[in-house]
Amino acid sequence: MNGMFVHLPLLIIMIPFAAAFIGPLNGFLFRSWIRRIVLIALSLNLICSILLALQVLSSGPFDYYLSGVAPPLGIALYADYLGACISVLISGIALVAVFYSAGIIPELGERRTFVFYVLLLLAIGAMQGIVFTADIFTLFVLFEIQAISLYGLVAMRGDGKGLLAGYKYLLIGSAGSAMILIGIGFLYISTGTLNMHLMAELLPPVSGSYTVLAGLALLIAGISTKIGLFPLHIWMPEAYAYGPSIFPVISTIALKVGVVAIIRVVYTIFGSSLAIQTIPLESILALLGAVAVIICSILAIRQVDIRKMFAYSSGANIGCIMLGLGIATIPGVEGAILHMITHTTAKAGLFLCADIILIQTGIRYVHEFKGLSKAMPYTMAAFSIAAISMVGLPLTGGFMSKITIASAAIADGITYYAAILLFWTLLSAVYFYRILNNAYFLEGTLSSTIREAPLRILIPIFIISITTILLGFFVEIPMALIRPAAGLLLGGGF
Amino acid sequence: MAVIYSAFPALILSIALGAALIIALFGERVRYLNEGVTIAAAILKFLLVTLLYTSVVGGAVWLWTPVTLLPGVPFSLKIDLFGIYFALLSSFLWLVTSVYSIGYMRSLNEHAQTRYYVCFAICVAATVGIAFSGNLLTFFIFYEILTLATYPLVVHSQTEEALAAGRKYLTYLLSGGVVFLFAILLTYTITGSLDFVNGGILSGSGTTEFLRILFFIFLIGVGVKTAIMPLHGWLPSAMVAPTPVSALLHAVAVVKAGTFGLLRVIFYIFGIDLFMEIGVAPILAFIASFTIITASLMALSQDNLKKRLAYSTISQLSYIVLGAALLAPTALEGGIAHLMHQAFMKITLFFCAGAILIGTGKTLLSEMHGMAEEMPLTWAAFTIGGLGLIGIPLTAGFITKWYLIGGSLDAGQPIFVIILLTSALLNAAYFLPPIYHAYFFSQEKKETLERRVSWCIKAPIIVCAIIVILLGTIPYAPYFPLESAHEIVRQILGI
Repeated sequence: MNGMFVHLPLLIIMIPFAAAFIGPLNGFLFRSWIRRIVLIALSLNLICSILLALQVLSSGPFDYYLSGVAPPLGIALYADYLGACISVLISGIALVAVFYSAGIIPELGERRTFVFYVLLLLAIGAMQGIVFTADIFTLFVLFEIQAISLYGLVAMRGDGKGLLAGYKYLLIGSAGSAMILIGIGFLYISTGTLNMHLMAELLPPVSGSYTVLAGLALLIAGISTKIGLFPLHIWMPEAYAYGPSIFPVISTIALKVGVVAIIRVVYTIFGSSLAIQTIPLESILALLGAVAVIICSILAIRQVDIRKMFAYSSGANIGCIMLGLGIATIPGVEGAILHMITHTTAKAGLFLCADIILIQTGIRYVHEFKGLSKAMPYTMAAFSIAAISMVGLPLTGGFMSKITIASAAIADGITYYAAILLFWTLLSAVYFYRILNNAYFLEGTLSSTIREAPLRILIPIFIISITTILLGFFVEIPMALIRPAAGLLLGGGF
Repeated sequence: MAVIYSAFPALILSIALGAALIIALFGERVRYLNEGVTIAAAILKFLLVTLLYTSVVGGAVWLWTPVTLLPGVPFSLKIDLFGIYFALLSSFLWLVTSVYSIGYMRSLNEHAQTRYYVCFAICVAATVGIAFSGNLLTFFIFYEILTLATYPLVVHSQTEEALAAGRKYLTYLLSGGVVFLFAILLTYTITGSLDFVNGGILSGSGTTEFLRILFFIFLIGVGVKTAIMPLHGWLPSAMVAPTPVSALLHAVAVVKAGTFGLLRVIFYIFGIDLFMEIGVAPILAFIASFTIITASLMALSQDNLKKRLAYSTISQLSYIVLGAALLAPTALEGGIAHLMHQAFMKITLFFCAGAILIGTGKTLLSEMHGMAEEMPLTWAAFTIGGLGLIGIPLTAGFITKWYLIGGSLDAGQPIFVIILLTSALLNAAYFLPPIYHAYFFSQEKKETLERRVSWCIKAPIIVCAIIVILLGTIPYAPYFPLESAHEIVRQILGI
């Protein structure tokens, strides 16, 4: 293995962190440089992620020991297929989002835009760390870094609603963090190690004890607050509605990172011991997922604010991913990971479109969309493509991941979950139909001064749209990473 | 059978898609571009499909599988005889309807013409995609595109009524699509494949009960587009669309996509042997008969001409289903030929309805008394189409009904002869009175209004009416539907 490639996992984590600290250092002198720094950092990050993915693909997963000290004493990073895959997703979507939000974010002003980007870099660095770490305490620390950055981002606008949303997020998130920490403590007491792989080896003999089970329950519950799994999704609508600019895009990635943490806990740590367990954890996850899919979709239909609607839709999609994970077969986990990718892409597209529509026209409610397709045809075209993917209709990524999960459910004999997933198509069609029908087929009273977004904004949006469509066709490309990832997770844990 | 691996089928698809793209980008700015591009694409496409037809009739099968979608299921374009048969129908009628559209849209000075032409082109591309699909997943992809692309055409007028019809349309078709997808995934899970294979892929997998349930899930899924009762509710409502849309899409492309899909499922997924074995054919035949009779009865009470035609379509589509359910080669041949024969008859009638709307502004049958004098040509064509659907000899409808009746006798089920004859009587009951009133109810001398109707509209009507006569007088001529239907049935049954 080439010497440079060995350090890639650490490099991917450190680039955003380093940039986050370089930013303030020179930023007080050259404040306008911050966006360039972010762009350069995230571009480098994307290149490193892709290189790592290629590396993992060609020569398999590998460990990286910080300072060369092996566990149990040292801290290990583990570059596997899942981590590499989600890492590319994080860097890619974050780069497009930052590319989109060029210059000063209007609602924040110059000074706070600067802070916004610094917090964003910290969050991205933490996310990259979470997907690669093999140490459960490091996982907690990185979760905290990510969460605190995100609380700050939500409240960034500084008005009442933003602050309240940030505060709500902070309360629920802190409770979650506390549970994660206690859960880790319980597992540490039982096994004496913090390294996930060692823990997985040491757990089976003690896995029946209440300490371990309580630890598992606390971990799952804690991480569920981070990923907004129903009924712990309650922070999401307001955070999405009142968070600034591209915050929802970053948050969408953060949700997927939380799902990776759930995968690590359920499959990497407990994977081998759950087989001899009496607790049907997987079917509980699947049930929670199915409930989230239905209830969040119904809640989404009732929303009039599109950002809140999309937040509930995210809740439903997280449910779909949990459902896929809960099926606990290789196709099910494959579908779940694929859905993480397709949903993030489509949702990023939706939020970018929603943001530029808000900036250009001030529209945030469904009924205000009337006639918008004439004023902003290109934005609405991209919006429609993302919406079609969210609904899960053919020729988009969302369709492919949905049918993968549904066919996995059928193969596993739980046909009713497949039926729920397909029924969900209709539910999500209802709320997207309302927006698109308003935009395309109803005459509105929009002022004639509304202009289409500038080309600089449209390019990143189109990149997302094209990716969404390509994912519906060339699904084999992400699958090259996802297949071994699922195989690895289910075949022995790590 | 020679398999030719080539991207040529995709090229044919991309003609209509390319036309849609060009119109979408430049249609608002360049005058006559909508019409010009549509006509050019329609001609080009028809020529290429004809070219392919000659190749496929010669025994070749075209195949193109660029990417894998699910393990074992590629995106597959495969052109066999049945596929090219359906593609030929839709591409020829697209050409005719394009000419008609130009006349219609200009005469009524319709709004949003660019959107109309874009969606129309996408619909036709999707129809050809459906015809060329090599497996169920590819089929489903185009099937859903067709659903989505038709919606803007249904709500074209953007009135309250149109939007309500559009909602109904989407509700029915998306729900049907979801059920269809469920059936597809069930099939995929138990067989690991979704290819259309002569003789089916399901034999030997699953119990008889399971396969029966699976068949009915499929039937509900594709039955919505086929408009079998009680899943037909969207079709009469969708008649608020502009007439060319009703003519091409709701008499031919969309509904026949459903019928075509049903035949594909029966003969290429289940396979004729398994279909017989699980014993669902009598139930299917019953549902088809029920639809034939009930829809005809409902057609009687419609005063709106297009709605009456819509119920007639529902009834006629089930002829094709019945042809498949009777499990007799003759009936199947009749059903497959009816796919094409009925298309020409029904499109003639719809074209006439549009011409009447343009010429006189009337849509209700009760207002059309004595109108034959005002619009002699249109009513002559209408008479031909109507007589055809009744099944009067020397028209296209007679031939296929003859085959269907012969088939039900072959199958030893004379009850269906009674159904078919009753339906013919009912057809006569709802087509003959309007024709009679139009010709013999004129009180005073009227001047002809037909000059208001442009030749863009009259020409397609004349062409289609002549084809209806030709199909009825020389049905066995080379390249006519019966020849292909015969060959398709031979392939399906493996004779």
